Amino acid sequence: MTDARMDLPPDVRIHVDVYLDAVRAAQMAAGVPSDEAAGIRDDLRAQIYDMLSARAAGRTPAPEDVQAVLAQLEPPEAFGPSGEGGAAAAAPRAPAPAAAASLPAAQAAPLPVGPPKPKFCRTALLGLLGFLPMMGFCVLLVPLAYFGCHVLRVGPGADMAGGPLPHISQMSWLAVCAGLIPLAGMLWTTICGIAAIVQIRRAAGQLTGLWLAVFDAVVFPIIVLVILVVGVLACG
Amino acid sequence: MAGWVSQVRKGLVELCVLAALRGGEAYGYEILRRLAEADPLAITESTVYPLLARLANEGLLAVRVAASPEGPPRRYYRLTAEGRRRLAEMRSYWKELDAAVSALVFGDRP
Repeated sequence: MTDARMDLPPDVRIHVDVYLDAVRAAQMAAGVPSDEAAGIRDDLRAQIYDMLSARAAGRTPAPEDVQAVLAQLEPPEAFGPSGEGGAAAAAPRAPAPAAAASLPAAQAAPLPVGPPKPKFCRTALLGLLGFLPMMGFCVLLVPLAYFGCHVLRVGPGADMAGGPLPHISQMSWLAVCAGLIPLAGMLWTTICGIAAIVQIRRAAGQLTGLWLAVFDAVVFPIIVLVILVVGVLACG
Repeated sequence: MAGWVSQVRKGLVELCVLAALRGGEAYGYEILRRLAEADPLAITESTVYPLLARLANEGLLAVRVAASPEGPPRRYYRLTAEGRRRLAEMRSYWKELDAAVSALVFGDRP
């Protein structure tokens, strides 16, 4: 996806991006749902690259190539309110001379000009929320340890404190409650990370933040793995 | 005349898109090229791609995204079981309609 787009020189890619950006604006004006609109633009982008590839026949496409290809497409406004099922969609394809001005038409329209800016993947950011329970757990660890040692009289120093040993259910309750909170956070972060990776890979370059998504997905499994290895080594 | 042609095309394009996928999956531009062979329909990108998206949303088409040697990933569409059912119904109706309209218009009623 992104690396494929890199194959086009910037002065060629800008024409494609301007066209697709104008299509996006027309879709927004028509109230096309964003996921549907993105799929339509993906189809269009794939078509443009196919046409460019056929036209360039092995050489690097030039700006004239992309202009010729865009001239064969409908104007971006065809994807707007008068698009699907409308007059523009049903009308026969415009003759080449009229369509040859497709790029200037896209730029002249009151639409945003410039390459579409990829968005940062929100799911990857949401995954960071999973760290909060872990941090909270670490912060609470001290009072919990105090509670265990001095109130329930569990753990080191309990015998010295001289109190009676707590009931087993109290210790289990404390352990389960203390363990569930960070576990939920870890699961949340890992799931969000995996979901974000899938989203980014399917977004055809429109989403960024793969590094954060990968971090979310692997950080806790790696921590657990390290703890297990250290534990096995320590016990062995 | 242009308005009538436009209305007829609008009614037929869904059937044509589903029929274009009868032989197997295809990506958007491939479908467009298949449909372009039916010249009088004059089907364009702004008709086909939104329609593909709508049919996928309705569960008549399944979408698979796959890498392309030409550039960005392609969205491959194929008929779902529901899509095949819809196509069979539409084909059956089209046969009846075609026969009835041809008989009326061209007077070839037996």
